[in-house]
Amino acid sequence: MKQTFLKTILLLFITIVFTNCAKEEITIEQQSSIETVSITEAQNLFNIDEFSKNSKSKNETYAIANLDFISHEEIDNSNESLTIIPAYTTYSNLYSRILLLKIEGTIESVIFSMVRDEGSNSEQFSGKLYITDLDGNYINAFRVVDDILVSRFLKPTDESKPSKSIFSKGDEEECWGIACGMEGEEVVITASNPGTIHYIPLEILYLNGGGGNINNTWSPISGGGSTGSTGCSEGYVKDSSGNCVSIYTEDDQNKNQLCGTYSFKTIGSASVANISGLGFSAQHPTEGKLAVQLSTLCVTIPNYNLPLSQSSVKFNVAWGLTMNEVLVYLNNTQGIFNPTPTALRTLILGLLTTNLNLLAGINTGVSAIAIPYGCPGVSISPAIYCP
Amino acid sequence: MKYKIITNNEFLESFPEIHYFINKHYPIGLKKDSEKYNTYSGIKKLNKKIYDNIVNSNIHDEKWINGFIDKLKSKLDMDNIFSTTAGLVPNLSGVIKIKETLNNVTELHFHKSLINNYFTIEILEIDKFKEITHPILGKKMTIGISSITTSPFGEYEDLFLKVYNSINEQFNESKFIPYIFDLIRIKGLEVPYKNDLDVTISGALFQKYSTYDNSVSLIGDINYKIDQLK
Repeated sequence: MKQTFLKTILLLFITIVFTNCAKEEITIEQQSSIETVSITEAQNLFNIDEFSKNSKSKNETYAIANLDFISHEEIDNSNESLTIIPAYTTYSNLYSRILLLKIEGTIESVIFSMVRDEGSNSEQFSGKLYITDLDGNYINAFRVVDDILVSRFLKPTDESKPSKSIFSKGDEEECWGIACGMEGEEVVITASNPGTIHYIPLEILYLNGGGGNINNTWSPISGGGSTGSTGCSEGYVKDSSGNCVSIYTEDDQNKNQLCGTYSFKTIGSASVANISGLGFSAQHPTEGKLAVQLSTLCVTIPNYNLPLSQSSVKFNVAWGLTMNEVLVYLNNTQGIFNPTPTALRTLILGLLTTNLNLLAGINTGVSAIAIPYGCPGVSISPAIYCP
Repeated sequence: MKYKIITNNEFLESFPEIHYFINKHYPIGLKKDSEKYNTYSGIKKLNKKIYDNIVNSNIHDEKWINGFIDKLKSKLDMDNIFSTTAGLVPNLSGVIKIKETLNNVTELHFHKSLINNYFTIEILEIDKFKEITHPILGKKMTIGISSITTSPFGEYEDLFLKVYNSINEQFNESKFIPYIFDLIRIKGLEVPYKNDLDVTISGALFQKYSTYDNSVSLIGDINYKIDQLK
């Protein structure tokens, strides 16, 4: 009922915007020089604890870079690549990536975030794109309907109000999450060939209103690019002798990466949350699917080097690191380690605890215990996987 | 220094007093996810102590933070003292940040168990970023402990003793647990807040922020005050 109402409001809103708003056209002119940012350069630019040094804000970190998953993705009509780092922001349900590109010799960075509309079909993307700096400040924002960029949100001014009809969550708030401070006037895009999410012009990421132009595009949907070119069939990689060997790969149906926030409660001087629905899944070309579920996980993160407010984000990062390590572990121990459900659970909990300790800034003291009903007196939060 | 694993009977013979209190609270030999473990009267008793002293934030703040940590700050004339009680664990804890540089930090950790007024103190030299080589995963960053001072010794002897005396004054008949008990594992001992099998004697009394491995230097007397426990 609520969804139907929201959809109706959304359709009405889009109709009003299409018929009444000012019109804007994306145009492309001269070319600035672009170069790929190497993995090493990206690693030097960010690390787990120095991310905030790269942002202008000295306050709470807006996003955390997951340096274990740095990759290069293809830029259309160019031999150069976009450097992609998965990022976890302070907002739940947001699929965010840091995009790095060297423009005129200088490394430029933006955070590219996507939020899918509820009920949007999985074949095409409908939702919003937010392009921000590392502190989460507006650079650009778009509405997308069935892969087409239909409108752009201008930078909000003091006078402009958030789009209350879409983002109101009761009478007490006018917007929520990243939408606050990101959505000014909504302007219809009327290019002769409508822009699609498969060809995002790099200039709207990096040169929003600034000097220079980049006549290239990138697709945030395909995820393709140079990382997939192993010279072997899917699920195989070349070993040191050049032979294609089978490996476990991330299961496309379950990305193993988390984007949620959880109800951490302060107990003593630690943050405690019960998180349900956690699991791991991978594909192997000959062994098939490998999947394991955990009981509700009671996670305790001492607060003395980490404030309660960062617990969810750090947990998601630790989980992402752990999932990556489990894949590496499985691939490096093929034929040696028998990945029974019990063995996999033990491996996950061991690695997760180590990663949580590191992110909490302590040698040990974190606990991650799988208990059927979680820790007593603490509410259970469901795990939320990234879209 | 190596870990030693002893059976429940050996534990009883060697340290009857601590065995009594640990056995009273934990069903040694049962798996922690079994029904019998979780319905064991000692586990229920311990959960109640944890609820009364830690989950009840008014009591935790009043008795531990205001009642001890704040007093210690005044007594030692130090501001860098914090509560570090690690959630649903059988102890209260705190830390004194003694010295901090870009890469290292020196901290005095104190832990007061909810089991029989046992307490312990240790001074940690911590490497904020330490690269280790995992046998399968390769290079990995961690927070490393380079040394643990286990008794009043060296540069911070006086501070160790002041904290020791403060705990003794505040908690009647409290007894120091020497570091040797971090190195003795009890076969079949599991605790609700750790995934370890064969938990150490110390691990059943405290959730600490340090763990021993062969890269850690132990400084001082690891048997400090052990005679009080025999």
